[in-house]
Amino acid sequence: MNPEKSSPLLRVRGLKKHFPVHEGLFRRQTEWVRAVDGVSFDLYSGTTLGLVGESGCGKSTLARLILRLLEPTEGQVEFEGVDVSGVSMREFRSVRKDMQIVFQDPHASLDPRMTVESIISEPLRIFGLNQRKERRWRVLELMDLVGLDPAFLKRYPHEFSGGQRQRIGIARALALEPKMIVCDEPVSALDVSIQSQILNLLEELQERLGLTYLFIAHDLAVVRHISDIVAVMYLGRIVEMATASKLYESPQHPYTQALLSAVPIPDPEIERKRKRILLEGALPSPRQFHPGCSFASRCPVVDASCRSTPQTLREVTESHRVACHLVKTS
Amino acid sequence: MARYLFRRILFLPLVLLVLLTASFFLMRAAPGDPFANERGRDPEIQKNLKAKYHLDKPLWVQYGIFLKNLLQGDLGLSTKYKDRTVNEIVAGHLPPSVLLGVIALLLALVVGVATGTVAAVRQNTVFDYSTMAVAMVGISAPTFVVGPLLVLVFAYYLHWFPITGWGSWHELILPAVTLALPFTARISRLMRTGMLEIIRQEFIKTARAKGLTETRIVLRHAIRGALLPVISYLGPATAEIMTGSLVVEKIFQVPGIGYEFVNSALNRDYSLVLGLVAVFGTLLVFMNLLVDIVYGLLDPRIRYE
Amino acid sequence: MSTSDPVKFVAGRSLWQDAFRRLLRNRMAVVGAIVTLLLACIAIFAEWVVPVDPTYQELHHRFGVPGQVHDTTPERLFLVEGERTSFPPLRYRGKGTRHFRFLVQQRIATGVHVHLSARSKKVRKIQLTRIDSLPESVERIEVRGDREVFRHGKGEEEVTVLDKEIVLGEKLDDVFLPLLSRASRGRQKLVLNQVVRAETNQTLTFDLESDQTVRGLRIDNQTVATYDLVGRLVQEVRRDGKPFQHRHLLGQDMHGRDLFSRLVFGARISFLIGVVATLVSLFIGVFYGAVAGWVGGRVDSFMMRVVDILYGIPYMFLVIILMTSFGRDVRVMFIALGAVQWLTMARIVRGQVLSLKEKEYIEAARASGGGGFWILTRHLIPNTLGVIAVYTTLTIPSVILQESFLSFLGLSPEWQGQPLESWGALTWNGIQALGTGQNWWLLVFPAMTLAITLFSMNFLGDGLRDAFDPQMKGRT
Repeated sequence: MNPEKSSPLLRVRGLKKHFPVHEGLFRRQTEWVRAVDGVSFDLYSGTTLGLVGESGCGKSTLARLILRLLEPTEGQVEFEGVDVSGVSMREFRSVRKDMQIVFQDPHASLDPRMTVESIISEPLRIFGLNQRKERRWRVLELMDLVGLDPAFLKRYPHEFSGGQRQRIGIARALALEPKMIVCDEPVSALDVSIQSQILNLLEELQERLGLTYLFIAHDLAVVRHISDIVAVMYLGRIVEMATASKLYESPQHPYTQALLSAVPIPDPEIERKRKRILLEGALPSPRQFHPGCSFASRCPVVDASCRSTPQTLREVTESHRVACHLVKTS
Repeated sequence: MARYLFRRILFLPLVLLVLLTASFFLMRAAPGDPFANERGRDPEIQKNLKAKYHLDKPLWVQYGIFLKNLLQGDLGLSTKYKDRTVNEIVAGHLPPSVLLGVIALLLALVVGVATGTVAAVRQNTVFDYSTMAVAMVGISAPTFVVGPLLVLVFAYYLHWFPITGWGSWHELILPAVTLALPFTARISRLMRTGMLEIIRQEFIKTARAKGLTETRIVLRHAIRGALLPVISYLGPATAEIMTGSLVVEKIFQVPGIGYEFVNSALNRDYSLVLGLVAVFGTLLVFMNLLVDIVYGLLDPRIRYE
Repeated sequence: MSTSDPVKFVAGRSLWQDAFRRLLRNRMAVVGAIVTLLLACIAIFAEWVVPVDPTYQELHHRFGVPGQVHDTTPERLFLVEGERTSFPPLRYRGKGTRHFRFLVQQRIATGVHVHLSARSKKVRKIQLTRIDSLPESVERIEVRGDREVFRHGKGEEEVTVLDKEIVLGEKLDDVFLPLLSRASRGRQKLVLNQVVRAETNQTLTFDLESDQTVRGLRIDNQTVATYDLVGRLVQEVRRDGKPFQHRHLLGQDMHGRDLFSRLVFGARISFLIGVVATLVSLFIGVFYGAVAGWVGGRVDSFMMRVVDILYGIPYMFLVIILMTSFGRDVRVMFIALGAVQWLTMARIVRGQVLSLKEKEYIEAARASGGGGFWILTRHLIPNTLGVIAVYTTLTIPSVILQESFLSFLGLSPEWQGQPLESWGALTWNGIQALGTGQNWWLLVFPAMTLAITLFSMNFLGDGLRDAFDPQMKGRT
């Protein structure tokens, strides 16, 4: 659970992604959508960083920024100490092998016209590795690794269930022996009974292969189980980040508290005694610029200064950081 | 509503402009001039003729003159019928076409809406299937095939109608029916589909609310809803009717602008062709605008935009 | 997996196979497919399907009623003084040789030797054959060796029968040619029952002079023979000299041409135009739509606005103007009709590319290191092909319809000055020839063929579209 290396595998600093909005008859640019608005964290090798937040808070955008499927507006991404966000795509290509992604939608993440073999071997083909026979070996190996019956090699995605398709996606992500895998809500689209299977698989693979995960989800229970450190995101910013146990036992940020209060606890006695924190108002548009705390409009403990004072992640206890000036440092 | 109309008013004349410009330059781009066939005139007269029709000026200037005159409503002089202006010719031939077109459209609307509604109400009955089958035929079979076939059956064999001619009510029916057929078919289908969708929704909703569903109210609501796509179809339908009239007027020898258009194109009568294109285009724009207004009034989403 | 497993791989069912199955279940679409394929085969193999040369005019049998079978009797050539006639390039019958037979009477002085030489290199031999089928008034009574006795209106005659092949350049010095009629005043009439073989692509020209007197014979404009004679009767015969039988399933037109054969060749023309114009629209539309979809943003909006504006124009007017201005060459038509259809294709392709762009497997391919080209060729194109195929199948009948429309208005396409007779043109001919309604077959059959073809292709296209419907993907 503790970081094994002194320097992080992945380091993100001040990452921002603003999308221009074009409106009107001539598509003039009117505003920006601040999908990711200044995110920083470290990810250490062999650990799992869980990232939670509501839909639209920017988690998926963040994932794509790290893998450079989108170009950042500002900020920096360092992988193994090397800056990868500013280099040319050609130079970045060699790093691609080391960071891969598993997608949320098992339907849309696999090309329906390709066989399982083609899908899993695609990364291998692109990187020019291996002859056909060797490729097939590797593919069968991977299938075995993720728990897929090798007899299905020639089948097509639509002939599989959701859970099996995710396994295919995971096998594909593992093809190039990456060091880090970004899991973008990998179980959100699956049935509950299948979710645990896939989660167990991911954990197993992490141990066996020494992988590092950035695990994105909106389901708190799922994230708690698999993560070492958890970060909570709201409107493009991280509002709280701590080790999993600390976060769940004593959440500090009002948003985190509200989120956690909605998660049912299996003990009816405790459940009855709990107070639900209901958030008023709707999620504000990510177009608006919030000089102060982005949560101010819905925060149950908001005060006058919240809207104007910019919030930064401060360490309030050891390895527990919060972006709320109302939380006292101990 | 206003914004919606504004956009449409900008858009439609643009279409007209493109149509006119394309026609103009296409005709001029072809080799030869309309007087080439008339030999035996001495060059002096030829020169005068050209000057009269502005053919001696550079192309862009001709275009400019054309547009300017157009805006003033002057469609120029015919190159074939030298003693008449295009305006005269058009005015002479316009009424039959408009009459034919309007009758066909009305016919299509009435019959189409009626049959579509009944087919929807009596879904999966003999009436439904047979109507939809006929509709399929109506859509697939080309006008110039159906027309002569109708002539064959009704005029030659049954002697119900005269074969060609234009003037009395009797002679009106076959051409109007021929022209109206594909649109009737399409409207019928649109109506039926639209109504079925709405009926299903409505019955599901109200069936639970009340024990009895008031069919009459549901039907009225359904008809209103299903009319929307029909009305919006009238826009492109007008363009198709115009194209169709070229054929129908030829078959039945109706002295309309469609007939004139084909002839004048074959004769390379520049001004007449362009004048007719202008008339067609204007009618089209007018109809489309009308349809848009009516649609805007009916569709609550647009009305309150 | 360290040992090699003898694993049997279960074959998967690709989406194409899936869609194909679904298509098969749609009965109307299957019928449409069969009919279309049949017609396409007929169009391709027209020469072998056709019973009669579609250009062969049988002026004896104008407006022949459907279902007739008859011997092709000797035709008279209806011609005006000084006019020349030619048989069209002999391209229609597959094997490449055609035989024509005509009776030529030549006046020669009695006992003079006759020259018959072939001056054209293309005529390798001239055959003088037996007269097997005789004019009605002549009867063969007896055969004595190489002499035969004929009886005809004016009595009986014994003649030498010849069966001789004459090679190029050979002079016939000692030939007595069979005679069929008596000489008059010391001059004999020489009747040659001449069967001429001409190879494919040759033009046979019979030079006539007043009242159908055949004066000379030319092959490919080289004079082969000249005659001073009276007599005509030209007839196409089989190799053994016997006349053909013509079966006219669907009747004959104003010039006695077989309607069925004309329809078969009309299929070729209509299909050709349909396919080529569709290909033109394909090239333009796919390129335009793909660029618009791929680039996106402002470029895309602009490009689509252009499409919207062009969509509002009643296209046929422009096409008519185009055809009347630039002539009716078929190539103009290809471009004109292709230019009409590309809009829809562009919209479809653009829509598909746009929706594909967002798909996660494209991102996955990029995360796996794939560059633009890789994604384009491996992912985008294969996934767009389905949609393109469907709309191509729906475009072809549309084009055929439009071409028929134009032919109907008198703007049928031409190639090198000759009108190409598509179904539309045939329908128009049918209407013209309707007269007072008795020649119904000339209108009904082309019209029906057109309608059935369009139906079938539309059903097929609709079926394909439903089969490829993404909502049904994966379901059987």
